[in-house]
Amino acid sequence: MARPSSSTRAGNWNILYVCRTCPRYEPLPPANERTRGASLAERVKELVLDGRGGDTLKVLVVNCLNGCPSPCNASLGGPGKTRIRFSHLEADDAADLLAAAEDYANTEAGELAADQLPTG
Amino acid sequence: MLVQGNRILKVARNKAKISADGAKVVDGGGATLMPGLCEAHMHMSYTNCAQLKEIGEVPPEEHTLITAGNAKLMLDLGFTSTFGAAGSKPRLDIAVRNFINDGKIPGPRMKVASPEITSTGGLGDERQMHMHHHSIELIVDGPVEMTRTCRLMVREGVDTIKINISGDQFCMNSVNAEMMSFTDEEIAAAAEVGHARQVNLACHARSSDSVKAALKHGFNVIYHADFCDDEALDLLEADKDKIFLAPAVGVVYTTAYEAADWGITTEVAQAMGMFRKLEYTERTYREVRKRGIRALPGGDYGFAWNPIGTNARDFEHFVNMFGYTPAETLKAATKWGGEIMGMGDELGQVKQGYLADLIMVDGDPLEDISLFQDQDNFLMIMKNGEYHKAPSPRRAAKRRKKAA
Repeated sequence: MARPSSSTRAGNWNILYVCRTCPRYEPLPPANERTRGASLAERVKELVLDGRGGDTLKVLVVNCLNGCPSPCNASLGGPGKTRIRFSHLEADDAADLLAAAEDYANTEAGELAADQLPTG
Repeated sequence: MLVQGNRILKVARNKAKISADGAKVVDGGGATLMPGLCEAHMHMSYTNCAQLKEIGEVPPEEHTLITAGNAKLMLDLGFTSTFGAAGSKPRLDIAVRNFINDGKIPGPRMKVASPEITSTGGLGDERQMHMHHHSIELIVDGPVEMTRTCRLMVREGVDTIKINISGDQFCMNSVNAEMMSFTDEEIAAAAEVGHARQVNLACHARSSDSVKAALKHGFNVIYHADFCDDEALDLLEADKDKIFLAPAVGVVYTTAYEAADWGITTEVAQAMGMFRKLEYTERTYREVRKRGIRALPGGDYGFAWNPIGTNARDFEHFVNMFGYTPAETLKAATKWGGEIMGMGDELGQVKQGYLADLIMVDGDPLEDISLFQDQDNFLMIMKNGEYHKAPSPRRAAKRRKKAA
């Protein structure tokens, strides 16, 4: 069975999901510090405000992307497209992640070549 | 809208205005104000475990804290109501519900179910001949044990008796999803207690036969119902004003596609029947939608690859898999949510006299139903007239600037 698209068909958005709880299986950081996932999300949002990621990109900072044994995780989804999950990311990978999101937005089915993937 | 105490006092539509001396005004310009969400298949005391027996290994003290944490998280995500689809230890969800109701800890309105009442060899029976394991279950065999267990659960304070009428391949020891776990006499015994003691009757029922048995005995909440044949669908439609369905498709979806890190590769998911289940669930719920039977989002969240806190993914599944519009999906999660909570005349709508369980979200969910997955998109969360998350004037100013 073909995997149903995991992004709403109601909007024509490509969505970059970033997990805020990564790494789930490690102790929480001190109260004044962010999780690694939240730091990645913060950096992604800063770069999006600078115009990175393309016009059709929405960023959702979610509670889990089900890749907990391989933190940190982000994924791309879009209407009718394959959903792709990236693991082992850090805040420094945010720019690469948004470059991948731009490439993803230009695909029909959401398939990316190996050299289009963030290095995390 | 004017809120006074815990109720919505007035609602103005279109350009109409409400005057109220001394009222605190919240500027929600551009945001969407709507009823709080309802999760219809809640496992508040599940621990995001990879195997059912891991839940049984958690001591009650830690387990209570985990359950209270889950309750707060659900409210953080705009779920102001949850309808329990089974606890794990008998009194965990009951205690947390009671503390929430007393205002001692934050959490949604909870309707609490018993643990999964199952049979020897049914879904949730993790025991081995040489070793006892506890997971999420109370095991009963025969109508007398069923009666005793159901009465015990009602005595302890559940709102819902939950029994597993069919099996499920999620549990390796269990009879499969298309087989029955209980006899008609055992189901009748549970139903008799539920009707006599006036609590909800909910069931895990994937096969046609299990759905028909649930309807025969007057169960009002039927979970899954994936493998309904036309006769079962006709029976559901005939009773559509009395019953609620919830496909709980979230865990099936993630087990099929996103659980490889836990060893559930595509091949394993295939062997577990996940793809077949998805195919049937989609077919059934497209038909359920056409027939106007009330089906609510709620996706069996509480497992490692489908953890609590990701519950709003079910809204996407309703749109993408079952063909619901975003508006239909949100009606199911709000208006029908009020109805499954047994409070349809005062919960689940933005309406004069209704309870002030409200959320304000950043954006238009009819354009993008995925926005509920990001808790930063909740600008305000109110339960029973009190803020769980108060609106931020600074954020409102930022929004006005952006819109200008």
